[in-house]
Amino acid sequence: MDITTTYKLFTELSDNEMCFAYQGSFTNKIIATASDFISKRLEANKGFGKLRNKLSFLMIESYQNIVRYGDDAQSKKHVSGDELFITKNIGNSFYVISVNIIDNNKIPFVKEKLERVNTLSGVELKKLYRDILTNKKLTEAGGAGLGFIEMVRKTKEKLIFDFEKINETQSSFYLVIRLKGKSQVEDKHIYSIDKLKNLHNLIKVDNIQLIQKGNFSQEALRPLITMVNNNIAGKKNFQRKIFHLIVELIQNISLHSYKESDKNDAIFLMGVKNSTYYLSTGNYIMNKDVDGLKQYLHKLNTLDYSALSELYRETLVIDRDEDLKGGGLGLIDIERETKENIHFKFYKVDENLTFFSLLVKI
Amino acid sequence: MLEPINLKKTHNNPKVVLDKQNNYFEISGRSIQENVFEFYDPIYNWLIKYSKNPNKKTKFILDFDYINSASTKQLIKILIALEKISQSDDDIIVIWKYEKDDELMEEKGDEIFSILNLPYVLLPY
Repeated sequence: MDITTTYKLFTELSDNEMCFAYQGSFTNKIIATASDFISKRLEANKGFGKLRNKLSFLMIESYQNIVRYGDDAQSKKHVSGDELFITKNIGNSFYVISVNIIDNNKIPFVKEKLERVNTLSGVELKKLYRDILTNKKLTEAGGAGLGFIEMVRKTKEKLIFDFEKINETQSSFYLVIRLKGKSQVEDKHIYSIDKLKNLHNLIKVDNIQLIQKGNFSQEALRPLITMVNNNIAGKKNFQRKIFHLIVELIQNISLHSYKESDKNDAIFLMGVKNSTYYLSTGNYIMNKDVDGLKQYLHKLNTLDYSALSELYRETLVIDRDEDLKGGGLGLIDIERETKENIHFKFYKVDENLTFFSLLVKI
Repeated sequence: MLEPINLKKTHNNPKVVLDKQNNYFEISGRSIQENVFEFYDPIYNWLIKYSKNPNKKTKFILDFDYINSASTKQLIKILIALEKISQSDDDIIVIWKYEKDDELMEEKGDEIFSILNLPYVLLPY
């Protein structure tokens, strides 16, 4: 992962109004936080608010699907990036996506179940659901395909799925649940499973643990904090530092990025390689602000720890313009806490805007 | 009469107790709010009033799990208001509490008090 990864992923997710992708250890708490956060965000939009319970339910089913089919395969050989959970909003649709490993010999069985639920009508699904429950015919995976039936019944949409061979014994299993908003707008978006595979590859190559894309406000911090508390290995002080950097990075976005009707469009990434954590943000800024920011970052990169601390103390007592809500301390603090200099890159987008990406390592 | 301020701890805001009558002053928890002025201005105004007519002895407890940079700046402003008390005949001490081994909050305390003229104690627990 380097400074170019951020813009690459941002572009890859350009049609996603909101995207939250996560790989790591799954717990109910994380799913609950993610679902709470996402449904809150969507409450005011597109009639998704009313679908809140449905969404939570689908996320839990999707997560259990990862656990259920991933379990056996996991014990054999588990490579990071094999399991992934994504929720996203494109146009009028909401997607809940799981990627996990499946043993090749189980594919025909799972595929048959998926194909069957996709062809049945609502009435037929209800009947099948009852039959399975009353006959208690459980499958070897323990799920009886009930999860799939529920996914289709709740969304009234076909499940989108695919398998991609990893080796002779294992494959990646992609499962996409689509939920349409209730507004009158017709949604013609066609979901591309190839795009999903491409995203999965990008995530895998750089071992990206977390992607959050969309509007960043204070609310955006919540799921990140939960993830960090549950997922960062190492000493408590290391966790605290990562937490600190995330807070400052996200607040940098929410305070300083370009906004349209009070919303910004930005991205946050966290990756890990050889025990080094990579944290990166990307957001739009006005072209006129580029030079100043560039110079400031160059300046920070030339200062050593004690010079940075001095600058920090000076800045602490300067009464800045109230427009500068952050107080101008964030970047100094970020620079102090990281191993290397801050990496940054500017991409001019048009005559008004530039995409600014920043990467730190700890 | 200076009415006490009593704010409960939330996800973004610390707990705040400023109570002249019971001689108790504490800010504790996590401070990561986006609009720091909205939160800290009333506290600042309260302390400006208090510093004009403080109690004989003031013990001010600061106990942060985490404080972001924007809040740190507001905290400095508040503490500068308290410096006035230390210059008078009245006593004031600020207790900076932090979880033992929490390097981040220990350094933060060191840093804050290095630029102030205010009696303080760093107190790990």
